[in-house]
Amino acid sequence: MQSPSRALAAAVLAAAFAVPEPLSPGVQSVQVEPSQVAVKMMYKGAALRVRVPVRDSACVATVLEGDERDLALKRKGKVLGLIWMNVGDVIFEHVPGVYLLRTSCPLVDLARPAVLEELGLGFGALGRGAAASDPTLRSELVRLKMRDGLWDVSEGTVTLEPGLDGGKHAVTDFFLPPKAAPGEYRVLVYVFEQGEGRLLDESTVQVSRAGVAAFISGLSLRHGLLYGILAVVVAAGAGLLTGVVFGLGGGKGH
Amino acid sequence: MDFSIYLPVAGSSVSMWVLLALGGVVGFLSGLFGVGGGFLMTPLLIMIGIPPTVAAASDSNQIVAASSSGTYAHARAGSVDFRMGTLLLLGGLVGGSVGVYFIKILRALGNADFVITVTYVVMLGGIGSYMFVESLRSMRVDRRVRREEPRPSLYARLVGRLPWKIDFPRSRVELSLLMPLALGFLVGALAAIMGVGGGFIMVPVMVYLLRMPMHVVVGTSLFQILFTCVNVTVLQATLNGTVDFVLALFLLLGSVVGAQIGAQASKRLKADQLKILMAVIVLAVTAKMLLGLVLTPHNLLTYAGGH
Repeated sequence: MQSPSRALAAAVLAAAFAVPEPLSPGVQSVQVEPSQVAVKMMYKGAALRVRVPVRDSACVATVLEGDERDLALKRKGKVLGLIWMNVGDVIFEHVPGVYLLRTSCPLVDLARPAVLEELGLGFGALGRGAAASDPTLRSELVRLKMRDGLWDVSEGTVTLEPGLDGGKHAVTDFFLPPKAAPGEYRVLVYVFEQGEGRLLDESTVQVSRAGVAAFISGLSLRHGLLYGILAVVVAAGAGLLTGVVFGLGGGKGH
Repeated sequence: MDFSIYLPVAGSSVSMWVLLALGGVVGFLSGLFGVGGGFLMTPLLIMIGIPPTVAAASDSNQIVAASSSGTYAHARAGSVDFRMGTLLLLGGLVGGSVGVYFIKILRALGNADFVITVTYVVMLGGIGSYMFVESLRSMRVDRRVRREEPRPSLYARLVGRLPWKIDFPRSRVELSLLMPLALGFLVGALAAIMGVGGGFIMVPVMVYLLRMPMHVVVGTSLFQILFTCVNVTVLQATLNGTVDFVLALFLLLGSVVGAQIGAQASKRLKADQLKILMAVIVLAVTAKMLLGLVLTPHNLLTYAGGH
Protein backbone atom coordinates (compact mmCIF):
# COMPACT_ATOMS: atom_id res chain seq x y z
CA MET A 1 0.00 0.00 0.00
CA GLN A 2 1.22 3.52 -0.86
CA SER A 3 2.08 5.84 2.00
CA PRO A 4 0.17 9.17 2.19
CA SER A 5 3.37 11.18 1.65
CA ARG A 6 4.26 9.18 -1.48
CA ALA A 7 0.74 9.62 -2.82
CA LEU A 8 0.94 13.36 -2.24
CA ALA A 9 4.34 13.58 -3.95
CA ALA A 10 3.00 11.62 -6.91
CA ALA A 11 0.00 13.90 -7.15
CA VAL A 12 2.22 17.01 -7.06
CA LEU A 13 4.51 15.61 -9.76
CA ALA A 14 1.56 14.60 -11.89
CA ALA A 15 0.07 18.06 -11.55
CA ALA A 16 3.40 19.69 -12.37
CA PHE A 17 3.91 17.70 -15.57
CA ALA A 18 0.34 17.48 -16.70
CA VAL A 19 -0.74 19.52 -19.69
CA PRO A 20 -3.76 21.55 -18.67
CA GLU A 21 -7.07 20.38 -19.98
CA PRO A 22 -9.14 22.84 -21.97
CA LEU A 23 -11.51 24.82 -19.88
CA SER A 24 -15.16 23.91 -19.92
CA PRO A 25 -17.07 24.93 -23.09
CA GLY A 26 -17.78 28.64 -23.26
CA VAL A 27 -14.84 29.54 -21.03
CA GLN A 28 -11.87 30.71 -23.03
CA SER A 29 -8.40 30.50 -21.55
CA VAL A 30 -6.67 32.32 -24.44
CA GLN A 31 -6.62 36.08 -24.20
CA VAL A 32 -5.77 38.09 -27.31
CA GLU A 33 -5.14 41.80 -27.00
CA PRO A 34 -6.57 43.50 -28.98
CA SER A 35 -9.21 41.11 -30.24
CA GLN A 36 -10.42 43.65 -32.80
CA VAL A 37 -8.19 45.69 -35.11
CA ALA A 38 -9.47 48.75 -36.96
CA VAL A 39 -7.63 49.46 -40.22
CA LYS A 40 -7.66 53.23 -40.65
CA MET A 41 -5.68 55.56 -42.90
CA MET A 42 -2.64 55.67 -40.62
CA TYR A 43 -2.63 51.90 -40.06
CA LYS A 44 0.86 50.40 -40.13
CA GLY A 45 0.07 46.87 -38.98
CA ALA A 46 -1.02 45.68 -35.54
CA ALA A 47 0.84 44.31 -32.53
CA LEU A 48 -1.09 41.45 -30.90
CA ARG A 49 -0.35 39.79 -27.55
CA VAL A 50 -1.60 36.28 -26.84
CA ARG A 51 -1.64 35.07 -23.25
CA VAL A 52 -2.66 31.61 -22.05
CA PRO A 53 -2.19 29.73 -18.74
CA VAL A 54 0.09 26.68 -19.03
CA ARG A 55 2.21 24.36 -16.94
CA ASP A 56 5.89 25.11 -16.52
CA SER A 57 7.05 22.00 -18.28
CA ALA A 58 4.99 22.31 -21.44
CA CYS A 59 6.41 23.54 -24.72
CA VAL A 60 3.98 25.93 -26.36
CA ALA A 61 3.34 26.76 -30.01
CA THR A 62 1.07 29.66 -30.95
CA VAL A 63 -0.27 30.22 -34.45
CA LEU A 64 -1.88 33.29 -35.99
CA GLU A 65 -3.60 32.17 -39.17
CA GLY A 66 -5.65 33.99 -41.82
CA ASP A 67 -8.39 32.70 -44.09
CA GLU A 68 -7.50 29.86 -46.45
CA ARG A 69 -7.97 30.61 -50.13
CA ASP A 70 -6.77 29.32 -53.48
CA LEU A 71 -3.77 31.31 -54.65
CA ALA A 72 -2.95 31.69 -58.37
CA LEU A 73 0.64 32.62 -59.17
CA LYS A 74 2.74 32.91 -62.33
CA ARG A 75 5.57 30.46 -62.74
CA LYS A 76 8.81 31.62 -64.36
CA GLY A 77 10.78 29.36 -66.62
CA LYS A 78 13.45 29.54 -69.31
CA VAL A 79 12.28 30.01 -72.88
CA LEU A 80 14.61 29.06 -75.74
CA GLY A 81 17.20 28.21 -73.08
CA LEU A 82 17.98 31.89 -72.56
CA ILE A 83 15.07 34.10 -71.49
CA TRP A 84 13.36 33.91 -68.08
CA MET A 85 9.68 34.70 -68.32
CA ASN A 86 6.23 33.64 -67.14
CA VAL A 87 5.56 30.20 -68.57
CA GLY A 88 2.32 29.24 -66.86
CA ASP A 89 -0.04 29.52 -63.91
CA VAL A 90 0.37 27.67 -60.64
CA ILE A 91 -2.55 27.25 -58.25
CA PHE A 92 -2.05 26.45 -54.59
CA GLU A 93 -5.29 25.34 -52.93
CA HIS A 94 -6.36 26.29 -49.39
CA VAL A 95 -3.41 28.56 -48.66
CA PRO A 96 -3.68 30.79 -45.57
CA GLY A 97 -3.09 34.46 -46.36
CA VAL A 98 -1.17 34.81 -43.09
CA TYR A 99 0.64 32.09 -41.15
CA LEU A 100 2.75 33.15 -38.18
CA LEU A 101 4.05 30.38 -35.90
CA ARG A 102 5.80 31.12 -32.62
CA THR A 103 7.17 28.46 -30.27
CA SER A 104 8.71 28.38 -26.81
CA CYS A 105 11.08 25.51 -27.72
CA PRO A 106 12.95 24.67 -30.94
CA LEU A 107 10.62 23.00 -33.46
CA VAL A 108 12.64 19.77 -33.38
CA ASP A 109 12.06 19.53 -29.62
CA LEU A 110 8.28 19.89 -29.88
CA ALA A 111 7.49 16.62 -31.61
CA ARG A 112 8.33 14.47 -34.60
CA PRO A 113 7.62 16.04 -38.03
CA ALA A 114 4.73 13.61 -38.55
CA VAL A 115 3.07 14.81 -35.32
CA LEU A 116 3.54 18.45 -36.30
CA GLU A 117 2.09 17.78 -39.73
CA GLU A 118 -0.88 15.98 -38.21
CA LEU A 119 -1.56 19.04 -36.07
CA GLY A 120 -1.17 21.27 -39.14
CA LEU A 121 1.90 23.02 -37.74
CA GLY A 122 4.74 24.41 -39.86
CA PHE A 123 5.03 25.39 -43.52
CA GLY A 124 4.97 21.73 -44.58
CA ALA A 125 1.32 21.45 -43.56
CA LEU A 126 0.11 24.47 -45.54
CA GLY A 127 -1.73 24.30 -48.85
CA ARG A 128 -3.16 21.46 -50.89
CA GLY A 129 -3.21 20.32 -54.48
CA ALA A 130 -0.55 19.32 -57.01
CA ALA A 131 1.46 22.56 -56.66
CA ALA A 132 1.65 22.27 -52.86
CA SER A 133 3.03 18.73 -53.10
CA ASP A 134 5.86 19.84 -55.41
CA PRO A 135 8.83 20.57 -53.06
CA THR A 136 10.38 23.21 -55.38
CA LEU A 137 7.13 25.12 -55.86
CA ARG A 138 6.31 24.85 -52.15
CA SER A 139 9.69 26.28 -51.16
CA GLU A 140 9.27 29.14 -53.67
CA LEU A 141 5.80 29.87 -52.24
CA VAL A 142 7.23 29.96 -48.72
CA ARG A 143 9.99 32.38 -49.81
CA LEU A 144 7.44 34.62 -51.57
CA LYS A 145 5.19 34.75 -48.50
CA MET A 146 8.09 35.24 -46.08
CA ARG A 147 9.38 38.14 -48.21
CA ASP A 148 6.01 39.87 -47.71
CA GLY A 149 6.12 39.15 -43.96
CA LEU A 150 2.91 37.11 -44.24
CA TRP A 151 4.39 33.75 -43.29
CA ASP A 152 6.96 33.26 -40.58
CA VAL A 153 8.20 30.69 -38.07
CA SER A 154 10.06 31.93 -35.02
CA GLU A 155 11.45 29.61 -32.36
CA GLY A 156 11.93 30.56 -28.71
CA THR A 157 9.65 33.58 -28.95
CA VAL A 158 6.89 32.30 -26.68
CA THR A 159 7.86 33.27 -23.13
CA LEU A 160 6.59 31.93 -19.82
CA GLU A 161 5.59 34.65 -17.37
CA PRO A 162 3.98 34.55 -13.93
CA GLY A 163 0.25 35.16 -14.12
CA LEU A 164 -1.95 37.03 -11.66
CA ASP A 165 -3.45 33.69 -10.59
CA GLY A 166 -0.04 32.49 -9.37
CA GLY A 167 0.43 30.09 -12.27
CA LYS A 168 2.46 30.43 -15.45
CA HIS A 169 1.24 32.11 -18.59
CA ALA A 170 2.64 31.58 -22.08
CA VAL A 171 2.91 34.97 -23.74
CA THR A 172 3.32 35.44 -27.48
CA ASP A 173 3.72 38.70 -29.38
CA PHE A 174 2.70 38.86 -33.02
CA PHE A 175 3.00 41.66 -35.52
CA LEU A 176 0.26 41.52 -38.12
CA PRO A 177 1.74 43.24 -41.20
CA PRO A 178 -0.30 45.93 -43.01
CA LYS A 179 -0.37 43.68 -46.08
CA ALA A 180 -2.50 41.16 -44.15
CA ALA A 181 -6.01 41.37 -45.61
CA PRO A 182 -8.94 42.38 -43.38
CA GLY A 183 -10.93 39.40 -42.12
CA GLU A 184 -11.07 36.96 -39.25
CA TYR A 185 -7.80 35.55 -37.95
CA ARG A 186 -7.53 32.43 -35.82
CA VAL A 187 -5.21 32.21 -32.84
CA LEU A 188 -4.37 28.60 -32.02
CA VAL A 189 -2.38 27.51 -28.97
CA TYR A 190 -0.81 24.04 -28.86
CA VAL A 191 0.98 22.39 -25.97
CA PHE A 192 3.60 19.66 -26.25
CA GLU A 193 4.98 17.24 -23.75
CA GLN A 194 7.10 14.15 -24.23
CA GLY A 195 6.79 14.36 -27.99
CA GLU A 196 3.00 14.54 -27.96
CA GLY A 197 1.01 17.66 -28.66
CA ARG A 198 -2.55 18.85 -28.80
CA LEU A 199 -4.59 21.95 -29.38
CA LEU A 200 -5.06 23.63 -26.03
CA ASP A 201 -7.40 26.41 -27.02
CA GLU A 202 -8.17 28.89 -29.77
CA SER A 203 -9.53 32.36 -30.25
CA THR A 204 -10.10 34.86 -33.04
CA VAL A 205 -9.04 38.38 -33.99
CA GLN A 206 -11.25 40.48 -36.20
CA VAL A 207 -9.43 42.85 -38.58
CA SER A 208 -11.67 45.28 -40.44
CA ARG A 209 -11.34 48.55 -42.32
CA ALA A 210 -12.78 51.60 -40.61
CA GLY A 211 -13.35 55.29 -41.32
CA VAL A 212 -12.05 56.77 -44.59
CA ALA A 213 -10.23 53.53 -45.52
CA ALA A 214 -13.52 51.59 -45.27
CA PHE A 215 -15.38 54.29 -47.24
CA ILE A 216 -12.85 54.33 -50.12
CA SER A 217 -12.59 50.55 -50.26
CA GLY A 218 -16.39 50.17 -50.18
CA LEU A 219 -16.90 52.77 -52.90
CA SER A 220 -14.31 51.04 -55.10
CA LEU A 221 -15.98 47.66 -54.63
CA ARG A 222 -19.64 48.65 -54.88
CA HIS A 223 -19.66 51.73 -57.15
CA GLY A 224 -16.69 51.24 -59.47
CA LEU A 225 -17.89 53.61 -62.20
CA LEU A 226 -18.59 56.48 -59.79
CA TYR A 227 -15.28 55.81 -58.03
CA GLY A 228 -13.41 55.88 -61.36
CA ILE A 229 -15.06 59.12 -62.47
CA LEU A 230 -14.34 60.78 -59.11
CA ALA A 231 -10.71 59.62 -59.25
CA VAL A 232 -10.34 61.14 -62.72
CA VAL A 233 -12.07 64.41 -61.78
CA VAL A 234 -9.88 64.89 -58.69
CA ALA A 235 -6.70 64.01 -60.61
CA ALA A 236 -7.51 66.31 -63.56
CA GLY A 237 -8.59 69.09 -61.16
CA ALA A 238 -5.37 68.81 -59.17
CA GLY A 239 -3.34 68.85 -62.37
CA LEU A 240 -5.09 71.92 -63.77
CA LEU A 241 -4.97 73.74 -60.42
CA THR A 242 -1.22 73.19 -60.21
CA GLY A 243 -0.91 74.37 -63.80
CA VAL A 244 -2.79 77.57 -62.95
CA VAL A 245 -0.74 78.17 -59.76
CA PHE A 246 2.56 77.66 -61.59
CA GLY A 247 1.27 79.70 -64.51
CA LEU A 248 0.42 82.64 -62.23
CA GLY A 249 3.87 82.48 -60.69
CA GLY A 250 5.58 82.34 -64.05
CA GLY A 251 3.77 85.16 -65.87
CA LYS A 252 2.97 83.99 -69.40
CA GLY A 253 4.30 80.51 -68.81
CA HIS A 254 7.38 79.46 -70.65
CA MET B 1 8.30 60.98 -37.45
CA ASP B 2 6.80 58.20 -39.50
CA PHE B 3 4.43 59.40 -42.21
CA SER B 4 3.11 56.09 -43.46
CA ILE B 5 -0.27 55.95 -45.11
CA TYR B 6 -2.56 52.95 -45.55
CA LEU B 7 -3.64 52.27 -49.14
CA PRO B 8 -7.17 50.84 -48.89
CA VAL B 9 -7.32 49.13 -52.31
CA ALA B 10 -3.66 48.05 -52.49
CA GLY B 11 -3.99 46.80 -48.90
CA SER B 12 -0.56 47.93 -47.72
CA SER B 13 1.10 50.78 -45.87
CA VAL B 14 3.73 52.98 -47.56
CA SER B 15 5.70 56.10 -46.61
CA MET B 16 4.08 59.28 -47.93
CA TRP B 17 7.54 60.72 -48.71
CA VAL B 18 8.40 57.77 -50.93
CA LEU B 19 5.17 58.26 -52.92
CA LEU B 20 5.67 62.02 -53.21
CA ALA B 21 9.28 61.53 -54.37
CA LEU B 22 8.32 58.86 -56.93
CA GLY B 23 5.54 61.11 -58.25
CA GLY B 24 7.89 64.09 -58.42
CA VAL B 25 10.62 62.30 -60.38
CA VAL B 26 8.28 60.61 -62.86
CA GLY B 27 6.19 63.81 -63.21
CA PHE B 28 9.37 65.74 -64.04
CA LEU B 29 10.22 63.26 -66.81
CA SER B 30 6.62 63.45 -68.02
CA GLY B 31 6.73 67.24 -68.33
CA LEU B 32 10.19 67.13 -69.86
CA PHE B 33 9.65 64.49 -72.54
CA GLY B 34 5.89 64.28 -72.98
CA VAL B 35 5.67 60.69 -71.81
CA GLY B 36 3.23 59.34 -69.24
CA GLY B 37 6.01 57.61 -67.34
CA GLY B 38 4.07 54.38 -66.77
CA PHE B 39 6.98 52.33 -68.04
CA LEU B 40 9.04 53.71 -65.12
CA MET B 41 6.42 54.22 -62.40
CA THR B 42 4.71 50.82 -62.47
CA PRO B 43 7.90 48.77 -61.90
CA LEU B 44 8.94 51.21 -59.13
CA LEU B 45 5.57 50.80 -57.38
CA ILE B 46 5.85 47.01 -57.60
CA MET B 47 9.33 47.30 -56.06
CA ILE B 48 7.91 49.06 -52.98
CA GLY B 49 5.35 46.30 -52.50
CA ILE B 50 2.23 47.46 -54.36
CA PRO B 51 0.38 44.56 -56.06
CA PRO B 52 1.10 44.71 -59.82
CA THR B 53 -2.52 45.10 -60.93
CA VAL B 54 -3.10 47.98 -58.49
CA ALA B 55 0.22 49.61 -59.45
CA ALA B 56 -0.65 49.70 -63.16
CA ALA B 57 -4.24 50.94 -62.65
CA SER B 58 -3.40 53.59 -60.04
CA ASP B 59 -0.51 54.82 -62.15
CA SER B 60 -2.99 55.58 -64.95
CA ASN B 61 -4.97 57.65 -62.45
CA GLN B 62 -1.95 59.73 -61.43
CA ILE B 63 -0.91 60.20 -65.07
CA VAL B 64 -4.28 61.97 -65.56
CA ALA B 65 -3.04 64.60 -63.10
CA ALA B 66 0.50 64.88 -64.46
CA SER B 67 -0.64 65.03 -68.09
CA SER B 68 -3.42 67.57 -67.43
CA SER B 69 -0.93 69.73 -65.56
CA GLY B 70 1.64 69.33 -68.35
CA THR B 71 -0.94 69.84 -71.12
CA TYR B 72 -2.12 73.06 -69.47
CA ALA B 73 1.45 74.37 -69.20
CA HIS B 74 2.22 73.51 -72.82
CA ALA B 75 -1.14 74.84 -74.07
CA ARG B 76 -0.41 78.23 -72.47
CA ALA B 77 2.91 78.25 -74.30
CA GLY B 78 1.10 77.42 -77.57
CA SER B 79 2.87 74.08 -77.94
CA VAL B 80 -0.11 71.73 -78.17
CA ASP B 81 -1.39 70.76 -81.61
CA PHE B 82 -5.00 69.94 -80.69
CA ARG B 83 -5.94 69.00 -84.26
CA MET B 84 -3.11 66.50 -84.61
CA GLY B 85 -3.62 65.24 -81.06
CA THR B 86 -7.33 64.58 -81.64
CA LEU B 87 -6.67 62.60 -84.83
CA LEU B 88 -3.94 60.55 -83.14
CA LEU B 89 -6.27 59.92 -80.23
CA LEU B 90 -9.08 58.70 -82.51
CA GLY B 91 -6.71 56.32 -84.27
CA GLY B 92 -5.29 55.26 -80.89
CA LEU B 93 -8.70 54.37 -79.42
CA VAL B 94 -9.49 52.07 -82.35
CA GLY B 95 -5.94 50.63 -82.32
CA GLY B 96 -6.13 50.06 -78.56
CA SER B 97 -9.34 48.03 -78.93
CA VAL B 98 -7.79 45.93 -81.72
CA GLY B 99 -4.67 45.39 -79.56
CA VAL B 100 -6.78 44.22 -76.61
CA TYR B 101 -8.54 41.63 -78.82
CA PHE B 102 -5.21 40.55 -80.29
CA ILE B 103 -3.86 39.90 -76.78
CA LYS B 104 -7.03 38.00 -75.89
CA ILE B 105 -6.45 35.66 -78.85
CA LEU B 106 -2.77 35.25 -77.94
CA ARG B 107 -3.69 34.43 -74.33
CA ALA B 108 -6.06 31.75 -75.58
CA LEU B 109 -3.21 30.34 -77.69
CA GLY B 110 -0.94 30.44 -74.62
CA ASN B 111 1.97 32.56 -75.87
CA ALA B 112 0.86 36.09 -74.98
CA ASP B 113 3.60 36.70 -72.41
CA PHE B 114 6.33 35.85 -74.88
CA VAL B 115 4.90 38.18 -77.55
CA ILE B 116 4.43 41.00 -75.02
CA THR B 117 7.98 40.69 -73.68
CA VAL B 118 9.61 40.50 -77.10
CA THR B 119 7.51 43.42 -78.42
CA TYR B 120 8.46 45.49 -75.37
CA VAL B 121 12.19 44.89 -75.67
CA VAL B 122 12.31 45.26 -79.46
CA MET B 123 10.25 48.48 -79.41
CA LEU B 124 12.13 50.06 -76.52
CA GLY B 125 15.55 49.00 -77.79
CA GLY B 126 14.81 49.98 -81.39
CA ILE B 127 13.31 53.36 -80.57
CA GLY B 128 15.98 54.19 -77.97
CA SER B 129 18.86 53.25 -80.28
CA TYR B 130 17.44 55.13 -83.27
CA MET B 131 16.75 58.28 -81.23
CA PHE B 132 20.20 58.16 -79.67
CA VAL B 133 22.08 57.75 -82.97
CA GLU B 134 19.90 60.26 -84.82
CA SER B 135 20.17 62.93 -82.12
CA LEU B 136 23.92 62.47 -81.88
CA ARG B 137 24.27 62.84 -85.65
CA SER B 138 21.99 65.85 -85.67
CA MET B 139 23.98 67.56 -82.88
CA ARG B 140 27.23 67.02 -84.82
CA VAL B 141 25.71 68.40 -88.03
CA ASP B 142 24.45 71.46 -86.15
CA ARG B 143 27.99 72.33 -85.17
CA ARG B 144 29.05 72.49 -88.83
CA VAL B 145 27.54 74.79 -91.45
CA ARG B 146 24.71 73.07 -93.29
CA ARG B 147 25.70 73.36 -96.94
CA GLU B 148 22.53 72.31 -98.68
CA GLU B 149 19.05 71.02 -97.96
CA PRO B 150 18.98 67.22 -98.24
CA ARG B 151 16.92 65.65 -101.00
CA PRO B 152 13.47 64.47 -99.73
CA SER B 153 13.61 60.83 -98.62
CA LEU B 154 11.53 58.03 -100.15
CA TYR B 155 9.31 58.13 -97.03
CA ALA B 156 8.74 61.89 -97.47
CA ARG B 157 7.87 61.42 -101.14
CA LEU B 158 5.41 58.58 -100.36
CA VAL B 159 3.74 60.57 -97.59
CA GLY B 160 3.52 63.57 -99.92
CA ARG B 161 1.44 61.55 -102.40
CA LEU B 162 -1.27 60.56 -99.87
CA PRO B 163 -4.73 62.15 -100.35
CA TRP B 164 -6.85 64.34 -98.01
CA LYS B 165 -4.08 66.69 -96.99
CA ILE B 166 -4.80 69.14 -94.21
CA ASP B 167 -2.74 71.86 -92.62
CA PHE B 168 -1.45 71.58 -89.05
CA PRO B 169 -0.30 75.16 -88.35
CA ARG B 170 0.92 74.49 -84.80
CA SER B 171 3.16 71.68 -86.05
CA ARG B 172 4.02 73.61 -89.22
CA VAL B 173 3.32 70.55 -91.40
CA GLU B 174 0.82 69.67 -94.11
CA LEU B 175 -0.10 66.01 -94.02
CA SER B 176 -2.74 63.57 -95.18
CA LEU B 177 -5.50 62.98 -92.65
CA LEU B 178 -4.64 59.27 -92.95
CA MET B 179 -1.17 59.69 -91.42
CA PRO B 180 -2.09 60.64 -87.82
CA LEU B 181 -5.06 58.26 -87.90
CA ALA B 182 -2.94 55.30 -89.07
CA LEU B 183 0.00 56.06 -86.78
CA GLY B 184 -2.36 56.64 -83.83
CA PHE B 185 -3.90 53.24 -84.59
CA LEU B 186 -0.46 51.58 -84.68
CA VAL B 187 0.73 53.14 -81.42
CA GLY B 188 -2.62 52.39 -79.73
CA ALA B 189 -2.39 48.74 -80.77
CA LEU B 190 1.23 48.43 -79.59
CA ALA B 191 0.46 50.19 -76.30
CA ALA B 192 -2.46 47.84 -75.64
CA ILE B 193 -0.28 44.80 -76.41
CA MET B 194 2.45 46.01 -74.05
CA GLY B 195 0.00 47.30 -71.41
CA VAL B 196 1.45 50.83 -71.31
CA GLY B 197 0.22 54.32 -72.21
CA GLY B 198 2.37 54.49 -75.30
CA GLY B 199 3.97 57.92 -74.80
CA PHE B 200 7.47 56.63 -75.36
CA ILE B 201 6.38 55.21 -78.75
CA MET B 202 4.20 58.18 -79.68
CA VAL B 203 6.94 60.77 -79.12
CA PRO B 204 9.38 59.23 -81.65
CA VAL B 205 6.47 58.66 -84.08
CA MET B 206 5.58 62.36 -83.92
CA VAL B 207 9.21 63.45 -84.28
CA TYR B 208 10.35 61.11 -87.05
CA LEU B 209 7.21 60.07 -88.94
CA LEU B 210 4.98 63.15 -88.56
CA ARG B 211 7.98 65.53 -88.59
CA MET B 212 6.56 67.71 -85.80
CA PRO B 213 8.80 70.15 -83.89
CA MET B 214 10.00 68.62 -80.59
CA HIS B 215 8.37 71.21 -78.32
CA VAL B 216 4.97 70.74 -79.98
CA VAL B 217 5.49 66.97 -79.76
CA VAL B 218 5.82 67.06 -75.95
CA GLY B 219 2.63 69.09 -75.41
CA THR B 220 0.60 67.17 -77.99
CA SER B 221 1.73 63.82 -76.63
CA LEU B 222 0.64 64.84 -73.12
CA PHE B 223 -2.75 65.96 -74.48
CA GLN B 224 -3.26 62.55 -76.06
CA ILE B 225 -2.00 60.64 -72.99
CA LEU B 226 -4.45 62.57 -70.79
CA PHE B 227 -7.47 61.15 -72.62
CA THR B 228 -6.00 57.66 -72.94
CA CYS B 229 -5.42 57.51 -69.16
CA VAL B 230 -8.88 58.91 -68.33
CA ASN B 231 -10.31 56.01 -70.32
CA VAL B 232 -8.03 53.41 -68.70
CA THR B 233 -8.69 54.69 -65.14
CA VAL B 234 -12.47 54.56 -65.49
CA LEU B 235 -12.33 51.11 -67.13
CA GLN B 236 -9.97 49.69 -64.49
CA ALA B 237 -12.10 51.09 -61.65
CA THR B 238 -15.30 49.73 -63.16
CA LEU B 239 -14.16 46.31 -64.37
CA ASN B 240 -11.36 45.34 -61.99
CA GLY B 241 -11.64 47.62 -58.93
CA THR B 242 -7.85 48.03 -58.92
CA VAL B 243 -7.52 51.84 -58.80
CA ASP B 244 -6.17 52.93 -55.40
CA PHE B 245 -7.17 56.56 -55.18
CA VAL B 246 -5.06 57.25 -52.07
CA LEU B 247 -1.97 55.88 -53.81
CA ALA B 248 -2.75 57.93 -56.93
CA LEU B 249 -3.38 61.05 -54.81
CA PHE B 250 0.06 61.04 -53.19
CA LEU B 251 1.75 60.20 -56.49
CA LEU B 252 -0.10 62.99 -58.26
CA LEU B 253 0.75 65.55 -55.57
CA GLY B 254 4.38 64.92 -56.44
CA SER B 255 3.86 64.49 -60.16
CA VAL B 256 1.90 67.69 -60.88
CA VAL B 257 4.70 69.75 -59.37
CA GLY B 258 7.32 67.62 -61.12
CA ALA B 259 5.46 67.98 -64.43
CA GLN B 260 5.51 71.77 -64.17
CA ILE B 261 9.23 71.84 -63.42
CA GLY B 262 9.77 69.37 -66.27
CA ALA B 263 7.78 71.55 -68.69
CA GLN B 264 9.91 74.58 -67.70
CA ALA B 265 13.10 72.56 -68.14
CA SER B 266 12.01 71.27 -71.55
CA LYS B 267 11.78 74.85 -72.78
CA ARG B 268 15.37 75.53 -71.72
CA LEU B 269 16.80 72.48 -73.47
CA LYS B 270 17.40 72.17 -77.22
CA ALA B 271 15.34 69.63 -79.16
CA ASP B 272 18.34 67.38 -79.78
CA GLN B 273 19.31 67.48 -76.12
CA LEU B 274 15.77 66.46 -75.17
CA LYS B 275 15.79 63.63 -77.69
CA ILE B 276 19.14 62.25 -76.59
CA LEU B 277 18.15 62.41 -72.91
CA MET B 278 14.97 60.50 -73.61
CA ALA B 279 16.91 57.99 -75.71
CA VAL B 280 19.27 57.37 -72.77
CA ILE B 281 16.34 56.76 -70.41
CA VAL B 282 14.60 54.43 -72.86
CA LEU B 283 17.86 52.51 -73.41
CA ALA B 284 18.44 52.25 -69.64
CA VAL B 285 14.95 50.77 -69.18
CA THR B 286 15.63 48.36 -72.06
CA ALA B 287 18.92 47.28 -70.46
CA LYS B 288 17.17 46.69 -67.12
CA MET B 289 14.48 44.64 -68.85
CA LEU B 290 17.08 42.59 -70.72
CA LEU B 291 18.95 41.86 -67.48
CA GLY B 292 15.65 40.84 -65.86
CA LEU B 293 15.05 38.43 -68.74
CA VAL B 294 18.51 36.87 -68.77
CA LEU B 295 19.48 36.72 -65.07
CA THR B 296 18.04 33.93 -62.92
CA PRO B 297 15.08 35.41 -60.98
CA HIS B 298 15.12 35.58 -57.18
CA ASN B 299 11.86 33.64 -57.07
CA LEU B 300 10.37 31.26 -59.62
CA LEU B 301 6.87 32.31 -58.59
CA THR B 302 5.40 35.76 -58.92
CA TYR B 303 2.08 37.49 -58.41
CA ALA B 304 0.06 37.97 -61.60
CA GLY B 305 -0.55 41.36 -63.23
CA GLY B 306 1.34 44.57 -64.06
CA HIS B 307 3.12 45.64 -67.24
